[in-house]
Amino acid sequence: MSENGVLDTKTYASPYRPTWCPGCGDFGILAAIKAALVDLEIWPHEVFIVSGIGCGSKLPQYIFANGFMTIHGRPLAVATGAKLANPDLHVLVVSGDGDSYGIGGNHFLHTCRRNPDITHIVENNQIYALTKGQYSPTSDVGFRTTTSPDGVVELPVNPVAVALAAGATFIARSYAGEPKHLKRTIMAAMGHRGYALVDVLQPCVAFNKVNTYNWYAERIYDVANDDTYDPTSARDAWERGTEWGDRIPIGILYRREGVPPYETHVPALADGPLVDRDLTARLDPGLLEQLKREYV
Amino acid sequence: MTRPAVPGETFTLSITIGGDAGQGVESSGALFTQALARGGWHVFGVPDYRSRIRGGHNFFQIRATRRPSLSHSDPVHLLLAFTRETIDVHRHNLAPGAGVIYDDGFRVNGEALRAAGLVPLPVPLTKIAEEHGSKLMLNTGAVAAASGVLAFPLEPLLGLLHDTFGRKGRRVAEANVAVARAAYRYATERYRGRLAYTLADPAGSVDPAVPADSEGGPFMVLTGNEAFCLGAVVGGCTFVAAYPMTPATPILEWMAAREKQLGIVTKHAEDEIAAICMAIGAGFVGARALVPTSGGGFSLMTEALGMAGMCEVPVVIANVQRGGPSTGLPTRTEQGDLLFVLHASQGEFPRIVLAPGTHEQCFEAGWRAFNLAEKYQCPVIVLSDQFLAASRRSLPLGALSLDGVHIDRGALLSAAELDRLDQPYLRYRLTETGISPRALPGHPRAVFTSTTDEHGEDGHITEEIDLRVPMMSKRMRKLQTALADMRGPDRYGPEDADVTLICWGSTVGPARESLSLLAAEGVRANVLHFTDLWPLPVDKAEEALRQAGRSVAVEQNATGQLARLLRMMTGFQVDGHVLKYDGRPFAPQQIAARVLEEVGARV
Amino acid sequence: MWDAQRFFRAVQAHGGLMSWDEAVRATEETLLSLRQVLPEDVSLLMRAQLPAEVAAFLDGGPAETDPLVDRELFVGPLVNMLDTEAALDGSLGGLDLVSVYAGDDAARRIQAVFAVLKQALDPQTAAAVETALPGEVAQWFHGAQP
Repeated sequence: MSENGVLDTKTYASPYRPTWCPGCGDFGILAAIKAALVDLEIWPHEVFIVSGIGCGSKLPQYIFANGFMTIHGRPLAVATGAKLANPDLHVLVVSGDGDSYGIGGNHFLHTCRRNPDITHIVENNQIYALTKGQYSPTSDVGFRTTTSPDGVVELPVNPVAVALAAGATFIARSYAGEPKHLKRTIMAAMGHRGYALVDVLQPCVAFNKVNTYNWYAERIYDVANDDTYDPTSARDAWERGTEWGDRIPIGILYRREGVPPYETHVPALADGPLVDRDLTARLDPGLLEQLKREYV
Repeated sequence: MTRPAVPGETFTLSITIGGDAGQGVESSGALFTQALARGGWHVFGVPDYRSRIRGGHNFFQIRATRRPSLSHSDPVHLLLAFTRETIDVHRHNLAPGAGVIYDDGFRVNGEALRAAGLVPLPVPLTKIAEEHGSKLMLNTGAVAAASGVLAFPLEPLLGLLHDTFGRKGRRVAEANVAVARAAYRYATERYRGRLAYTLADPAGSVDPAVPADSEGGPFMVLTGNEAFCLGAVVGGCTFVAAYPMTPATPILEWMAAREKQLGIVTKHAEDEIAAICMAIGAGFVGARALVPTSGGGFSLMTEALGMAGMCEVPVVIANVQRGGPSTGLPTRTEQGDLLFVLHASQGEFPRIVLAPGTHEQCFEAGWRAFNLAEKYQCPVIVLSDQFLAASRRSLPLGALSLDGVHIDRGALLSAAELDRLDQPYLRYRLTETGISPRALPGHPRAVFTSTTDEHGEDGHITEEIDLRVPMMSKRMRKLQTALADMRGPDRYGPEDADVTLICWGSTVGPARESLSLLAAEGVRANVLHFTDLWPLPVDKAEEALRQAGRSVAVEQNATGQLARLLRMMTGFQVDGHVLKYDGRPFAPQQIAARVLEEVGARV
Repeated sequence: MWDAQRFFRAVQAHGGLMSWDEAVRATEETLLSLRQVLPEDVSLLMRAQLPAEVAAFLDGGPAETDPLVDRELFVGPLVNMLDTEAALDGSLGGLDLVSVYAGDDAARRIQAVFAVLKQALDPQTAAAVETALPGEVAQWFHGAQP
């Protein structure tokens, strides 16, 4: 019963213990999501967390909230359908880099330009962890894994640049090792009306011995600390979004407010969520007669 | 259930309109079909297109009858040729004394046509169109000329032109009317009485052996897809997601055009995988969601189909079949996906498969599918096909009614019921029927999670034997429970027939029509038509099959998929097959001829 | 005042670590986590009492403490440095994981660093560090035997 007593992170506590490796960045992401929801005063029954398949996609199992762990690569599509059917739900998508940028790449691209009011948290650890150590669409060139024994040849997907090019209205990056920053970023993303991408840099303690906590700690910096950075400028966003290597920017890289989300354009939703409809209303003989007259 | 063999039809007139893609053959066919219906004739129109925007031969075949008919019919009595080649293509299918209307500018050897027993009917169609409107209106002129030749009154066509072209402005409508009048006058003055076949008066001179038709006009003329859409509307469909694919595209377009009017969210998705996933997301939170597609799209959806099965999400998928495999025959018909949809996706989970055979059954499947999907919390697949989906058939207004239509949301917990809940909500509670009471996300007492992994009653992942087996059994039990709602085959014709044609889906139309042709050859036959294919109501099927005569499976596929299904589920072995996989629908004459070949020697 | 040599040697001894290098890494990763949770004043106090080479590991932390860093995240940097995979998993594919051991191993190493820290810091600073740690990690600190 979520509405007994006060809303705090215990409200979101699941009886199940995560099966993630000790030290996994997913713990930070889980903690940040719970804290963000509490600070936003959202109750577990008001949220719908949709995930795909992967280590991080098990997250809905470890939080007391409505959740749906779907199939690999498809959570954005499932979430879009849910949002269109019931825009009253706060819809979050949580899935990994393989799920979001690899197998689900087409949905990522089209969700960016579609702009439904969904917050997309990508657990980007640059590795396929649940299948135990193959390279992912965001693995750096040269990264050696069981499926790239001589090092990755393909260029990594840059989700920030792709999202920007595809018309996303909110693009942020955060870091699982700094859950407080991540919490703030998620809150901003959920506060944004429209599709919000939060690409979370996440060490995989087990299989990624290159992009480690240490590696990130030496490189990340928050664009919020740079007074000259203008997150409403696509040019700034492109410049920083494509920065990768010695320095890696985190924070809100791009935001364009005032773009009405997709669902506000859907005429069928003008009368409120579909789930509140009285389905027997269509059993009005007048309606059927009217429709049939089109064929006479 | 046993029903009469066929409408007692004795009069048939078939018209073919042929031309190149891009010449408006379909709209001419639709126009003529509807004009005939307005004039009191029952019609059945079948398009035959190639998958291209321009070039290549297309045609539209119309059958006019005094009583309702169930399929097109060969041979053809009047040919409207928009190209000279049309005459060559269709010559083999023309009845003795058939008329051929063509533009008098074509180089056609009228003498040769006459020598072949045909009646050449050249009309200056281009000239008339250009004189009274524009060349674009040539088709209007052709339909009017055909009406004139057949002694069919012009008024229904004129009214239709106003209704159809009124949207484009009064001048366009009036120009079309002028072209129609001119072409009609020309054809009437020049050719009235020249043809033995006419459509003078549908009400008069009905065969006295046939009881008077109680289902007089006005008639609707609509396609199977449209009938299905109407059914889905009254069935409470609130969400449609799809990726355009012939021949299912019209369903998405129909819904999109009426999104505002009906309050149905219509989403053209980025691909078929997204389409079904959106529908599953919408279904999960409580919408009645529909995904129209064809075989190729369905193939892409198979993984998500399993998700709906595993997570017990109601969703309706309409697979409007076309010729396969792969891209196959994109604009043509086939019944090649039956065994595929029964088994699609990995593992085992309950699904329901319905195969309507007529326009009325399309309407019924439209609402029934949603009730079954919510009642059994599983995917429901409606198997239609290009022939059924695209054929235009006249129906009395009363044929599609709210009789029997109801909304059954199954074990869906209301907010009030959830308010009273004093136990933690278990989304996948183990029950005797296999159906777990379903809550929608949004209620404080029913916060739950779901996963495509095997799970316990609370929806949490499990791999424990003591949870896996009961949960798997619970899901599969729903199939047993659902059997109560599954209908056995319908029988048409005499109970004690010597030959039984076994069919499913759209084949029922031409199969029923073939019975009178077989009877004329001395073969006493009936039709056993299966509509509810999964879970197959085995008891009902076995009972019907026990009474079957010499059995012939009539199917539009290469392997006899229904016959295989019956063998698998009942052990029944059909005696013979009449199979067709050329992408063109069965004509009753073809079925009759091939059934005779199959059984002739032994009957 | 301890020198770095003595500090790392002590960590190696406490943790039963096989190499000097492992002691340096254990120290570095533990302090990387510590800097996420220590208030700035405690961090400054610590730095003043630690050898420069060790204190440097506290550089570059976030401006504010992060209350969301829990036991799991605290061990993250160390687990990340440890061997977490055995050979190829020939039956199911991928690499065979030994990350569960790495979690326990990381906790043990962190506790070794804590033990040395408790010796190197004055009692007030040590107490302040303990207070700043997430629940279970504070217990490790408390239980670390110098």
